[in-house]
Amino acid sequence: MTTTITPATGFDDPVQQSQQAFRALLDAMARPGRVTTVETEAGHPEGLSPALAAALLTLADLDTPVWLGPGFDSEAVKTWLRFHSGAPLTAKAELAVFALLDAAQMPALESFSFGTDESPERGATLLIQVPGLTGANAMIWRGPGIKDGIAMPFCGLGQSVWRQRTALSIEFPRGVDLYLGCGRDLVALPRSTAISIEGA
Amino acid sequence: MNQAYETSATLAGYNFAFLDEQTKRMLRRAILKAVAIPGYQVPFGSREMPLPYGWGTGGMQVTAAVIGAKDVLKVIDQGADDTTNAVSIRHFFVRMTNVATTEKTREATLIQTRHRVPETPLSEGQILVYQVPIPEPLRWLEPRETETRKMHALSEYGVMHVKLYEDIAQHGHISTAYDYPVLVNGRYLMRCSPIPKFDTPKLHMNAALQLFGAGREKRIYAVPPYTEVKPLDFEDHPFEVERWPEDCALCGAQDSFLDEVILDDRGGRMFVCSDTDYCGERRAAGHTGRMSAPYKEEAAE
Amino acid sequence: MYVAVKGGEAAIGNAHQLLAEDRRGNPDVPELSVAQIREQLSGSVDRVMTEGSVYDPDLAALALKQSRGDQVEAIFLLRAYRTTLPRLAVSLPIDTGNMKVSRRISSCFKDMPGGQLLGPTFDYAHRLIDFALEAEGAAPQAEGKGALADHLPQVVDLLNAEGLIEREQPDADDAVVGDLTREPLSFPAGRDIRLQTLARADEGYLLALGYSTQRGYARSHPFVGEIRTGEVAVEIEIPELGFAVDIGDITVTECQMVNQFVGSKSEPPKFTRGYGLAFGYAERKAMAMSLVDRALRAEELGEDITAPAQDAEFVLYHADNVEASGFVQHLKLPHHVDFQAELTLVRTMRAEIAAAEARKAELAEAAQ
Repeated sequence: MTTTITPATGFDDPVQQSQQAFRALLDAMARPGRVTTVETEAGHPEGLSPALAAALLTLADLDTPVWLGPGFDSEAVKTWLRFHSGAPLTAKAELAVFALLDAAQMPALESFSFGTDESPERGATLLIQVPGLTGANAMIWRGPGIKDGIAMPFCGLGQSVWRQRTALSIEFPRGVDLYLGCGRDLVALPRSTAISIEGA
Repeated sequence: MNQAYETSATLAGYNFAFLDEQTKRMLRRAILKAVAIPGYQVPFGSREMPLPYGWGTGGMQVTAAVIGAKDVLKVIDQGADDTTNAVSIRHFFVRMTNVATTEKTREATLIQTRHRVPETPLSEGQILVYQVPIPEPLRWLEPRETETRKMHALSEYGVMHVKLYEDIAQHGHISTAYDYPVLVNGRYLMRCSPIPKFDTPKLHMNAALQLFGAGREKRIYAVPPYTEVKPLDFEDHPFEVERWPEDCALCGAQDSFLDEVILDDRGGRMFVCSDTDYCGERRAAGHTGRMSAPYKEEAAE
Repeated sequence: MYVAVKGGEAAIGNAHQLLAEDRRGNPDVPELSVAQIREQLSGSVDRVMTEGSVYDPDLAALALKQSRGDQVEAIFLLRAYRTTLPRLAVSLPIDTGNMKVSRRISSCFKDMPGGQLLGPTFDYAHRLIDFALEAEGAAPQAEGKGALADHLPQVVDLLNAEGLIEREQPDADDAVVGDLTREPLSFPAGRDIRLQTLARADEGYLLALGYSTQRGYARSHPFVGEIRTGEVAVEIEIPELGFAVDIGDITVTECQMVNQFVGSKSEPPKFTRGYGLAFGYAERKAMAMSLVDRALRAEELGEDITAPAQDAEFVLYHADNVEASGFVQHLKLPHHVDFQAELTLVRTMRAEIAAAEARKAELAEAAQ
C-alpha cells in the first residue's frame, strides 16, 4: 500500500532565507547559551520547531546522512526532508551528520559519531527539540563564546543527558554539537562548552 | 571613489555571492564545526574562485558563505581599504551581491582582511574574515600534513617551543615578527594568518567572531568571541609587540601599527598608520602628526 | 607634506583596459576567431580542457583567446567557470576498449591483434620549420587514413595469457569513487584520487617527475604497452529509463605503461602497470602521467620510497598549476605590513648586537 503525502513547504527563497537562517545558527554557535531567534519564515512539518526545520533546510543535503529519532521518524517528516534537502535518511545513528531528536526521547549521546582526534569535525550535530529554553537555572556554561559563565536551565532535557554531556568534555576535541530548539528560538551547545551542574 | 567601477549591478547569470547553494552548505557546515572546535583546521572542498589562489580565495569563500543582503562589507589589505587587492575583492562582492560597502570599521558587519586586524576595537555581532595562505602553524617545522595532523591530535607542540627557545638561545629573541604562533582555548596551536605580532593580542577575548579561510590549502578555522588566544612565550622571555621610534606622521597615533614610507634616497622616512580608516578617523577628530596637512574630507584623491 | 597614494580602483580599471588592448595586438592584423583557435591550435585547446577539467573545445578556445594564449591562465579561466556549473549527472566509466581509434601503438610487441596505426603524430617528423606555412594555402588533404575495428581490446590484456602482467582489479560496483573537486585531498590517497590529481596536474610538472623516474629516481623500467587516441562515447544512466543513454563523444588519449618489477617482500616478480588518460591528443601528458602513477604505487607494491616521484604527499600537493601559479604570484601582492614587522625585528636585533659589542669594547678598554 502506498500513501501519497504532500510534503510541507520549505523556504520560498532558498538563497536568501538559508543565508539568514545560517547567520542565526552561526551566531548561536559562536555564543553558546544565548537564545537566538531564527527570524526567517520556513515551512515545516507539523510538530517540528520552525527553528530546527530551518536548520535542516539550511544545512542538510545529499552529502549529509540524517538520523530521525523517535517522535520524528514519521512519514511527514521523512517526505518533507527528502523533498527539500535530498538528504539520505540513515538507520544507523553513528553514521548521521545530523540527528533530529526529541528531548523526551533521547538516545544515549554515545550512539552518535564523536569524530576522531585527527578529524573531530566528523562529530555529529544533534538538533534537539525541547519544550522550552527558560526555567530555573541549574547549570553554569563556560568556554569559548561565553564572556563570563552563563547560568542555564535544563531546557526540558533529562539530568542523565546533561550528565552524559558533562562527561563528554574530557573527550574534547571529539564530541557532538547541539542545537536546542523551541519554536523559532534556539540555543547552541558546542563541544567546547564546559558545563558544571549546580549541586552535582 | 571611481563610481563607474564601484556601482555595477549584480552580475546576471551568477548566483548570489557567486557560489552555488550546495557549495555554500558545505562551507557553512565546515564553518559551524570550526566555531565548535576553536583553532582546529576543518578540511573543506575548496572551489576555484575567479581570483587566483593565494589572493584571498579562502577568505572569499568564507565571506560568500556568510554574506547576506543586509550586510555592510569592508575589505582591507595591509590595513588599507584602497590597496589594489582589497579594491578587487570588494568589487567582486559588490558585483555578486550588491551589498553595501564601507571603509569604516565601526559600520561594517562583515570585514574581510589580509594581514591586519583593524585598530578600532571590534564589537559583538561583527565578523572578521581572515585570508590565510598557509594555515598550518607547524608547517615550517614539519612539511607533511600527515604528520602535523597527528601532532594536533596529540597536542604535541614541543617542536614549536623548541624552535622558539632556539631563537632565544641564538639571537636573544624570538625571531618571529609576524604569524606568531598562538594557543587557542588552551588546546590548538593556531596560525593567525600572517598578521604582525603587534596584532596578535587583539585576537584574545575579542568580542567579534573571527573566521579564517585558506582556499588553496582547503582549511577553515575559527576563534569564537571571548576566546582565550595565548601567544606562545616563556616566563623569562614574555611575548612583546613591536614599537616604533616615531608616532604616525599624519595623525600622531602612538598606539597603531605604522608603515614605514621611504621619502628620498638619503634615508629620509616617515611612519604612517597602516589602518587607513583609523588614521582618517583620528584626523577627522582633529589629531595631527608632524607632517600632516589640515584634515579635509576626501583630501586624498 | 605627504599625501598617501590612493589610486587602486583607477589603476585596476586601467590595467584591464591595457590588457585588452595588448591581447588584441595590432588592430591591422585580422582578429582570431574562436573557431580558428579550436581548429588550428588544438594542442593548446586539448591541454586547457584536460587541466581545466572541462571537456568543451569551444570554451577552451575562448579561454585561450581571452588569456592571449597563456595556457595556465586559460586553464584557470575554465576551472573558475567550472565552479559555477551544476552537477546534473555522473557518467558511467568510459570504455576505451570501444574507442574509434585514430592512433594505436605498442612498443612491447611487434604486431598485435587489431593492428597498429600510426595516425597523426609528430613522432617521425623532422623538426624543420616549414616556411611554406608562412603563406596561407589550400587545406592539406591526407591520404591513407587508416581505420581499425571499432572494438579493440587492450593489447596488454590480450597478450597476457601467462599472467605475467598484473591485471587491473576494478573496484566493486558499489565502491564510492572519490571526487577531488568536492573533497579536499587527504592521505593516504587512493588510486582514484591520485589519478584524478594527475589528470588535472600541470603537464610540465608531470613531465619532469616522469622523466626523473627514467633517470634513476625510482627507476621503473617502463615500456609502452599501448597508447591509443580516439573517440569514446560518454553515457549516463537515467534512473527513470533504467538504461544508459549516449550523450556524446569525446576524444581522449590513453597510455598503458608496463613496468618490469623484480618483486618485493609482498609481491612475486611480474610486470606492473601505470595509467595515463587525458582529453584530446595529449600523448606527452598521458605518458608522463602513467610514469608518475606507477611511481606513486610504490607503497602498495612494497617498494622503498626513496625518490620525489614516489612521495604521494609531495607529488599530489604540488601538482596543480592553478594553485601553484596563484601562490607563487601572490608574492606580488603588497606584503609591507609583514615586511615592516621583520624590519623592526632586524633593526632591534642589530641594535642589540651593536650595544653588546660596544659594552665588550668598553670592558676591554677598562681592563687595559
